[in-house]
Amino acid sequence: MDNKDKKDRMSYSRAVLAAVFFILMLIPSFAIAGPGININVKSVLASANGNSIDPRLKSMASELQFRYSSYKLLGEKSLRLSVNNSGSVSFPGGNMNLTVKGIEGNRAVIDIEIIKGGSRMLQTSVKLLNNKKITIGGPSHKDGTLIFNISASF
Amino acid sequence: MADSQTICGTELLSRYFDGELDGDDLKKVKSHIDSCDSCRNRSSEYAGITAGFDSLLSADFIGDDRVIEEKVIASIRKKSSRSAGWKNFIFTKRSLVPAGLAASVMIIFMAFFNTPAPTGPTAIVSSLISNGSRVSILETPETRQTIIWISENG
Repeated sequence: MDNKDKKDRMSYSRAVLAAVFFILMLIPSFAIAGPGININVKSVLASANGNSIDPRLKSMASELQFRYSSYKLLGEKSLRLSVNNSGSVSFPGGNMNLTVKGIEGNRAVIDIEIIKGGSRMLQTSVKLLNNKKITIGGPSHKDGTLIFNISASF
Repeated sequence: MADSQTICGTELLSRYFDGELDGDDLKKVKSHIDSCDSCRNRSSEYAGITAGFDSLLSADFIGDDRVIEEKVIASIRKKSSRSAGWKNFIFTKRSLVPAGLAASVMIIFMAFFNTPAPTGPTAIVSSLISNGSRVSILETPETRQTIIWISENG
């Protein structure tokens, strides 16, 4: 076997390795980590007082086009929930409970419960598109309004 | 044994010019040429023609040989370079096999896992229960993000 053949074989092996690596990269994370949905919740205090918008909320503020001039990020929490498992996110004066009920096509079925002041304020079931968001807002807090920006990916 | 007339009659002379004679015939023709003006003249002409033809022939052959040799060498080189090119081509093709495999996996991945752009809202609200608050379901105009808005004051 001459050097050229050796080189050719080495480049072929490299190509095979690169292909295997590329294929492994394509394997979705849930296939490795098991079934589950990543849920991210941003708790935001929006107010008409002031003009301060948290840089992390600029895109959200411009998308929602609410009549608030100030957006403050109170907290952000990421949950990984499997089917029929629940997680909780606290906010001033209450908490939000999220339960994953399953996946229907490209939507995650999530039950959301908002409890404020010890009583259930809202209970809803939503079918949220993969990598998309839903915003739940309205509860008052101090001189502003609480907004929850929820996204799901699976 | 040839006589003078036979010699002048070309057959023996021709054979002499062609170098086919030996022994007594050769001696006889030589001595005849020395004594016969006609045959001597013809001999000179033949010698001149033969010499010219030989020189022409040999020059042509030398030229041809070189040309042929060069052509053969060029052909061999061309053939060997073609062979090397084909070899490279085969190895390139072999390298394309894993690349093709990776591309196929990617296409399958895209077909099965990649979801089309949403045409509906980001979230479908399946059920909703509120505790005395007025609730609105909205949608952002561009991204069609679903908003659930709770009006606490009713």
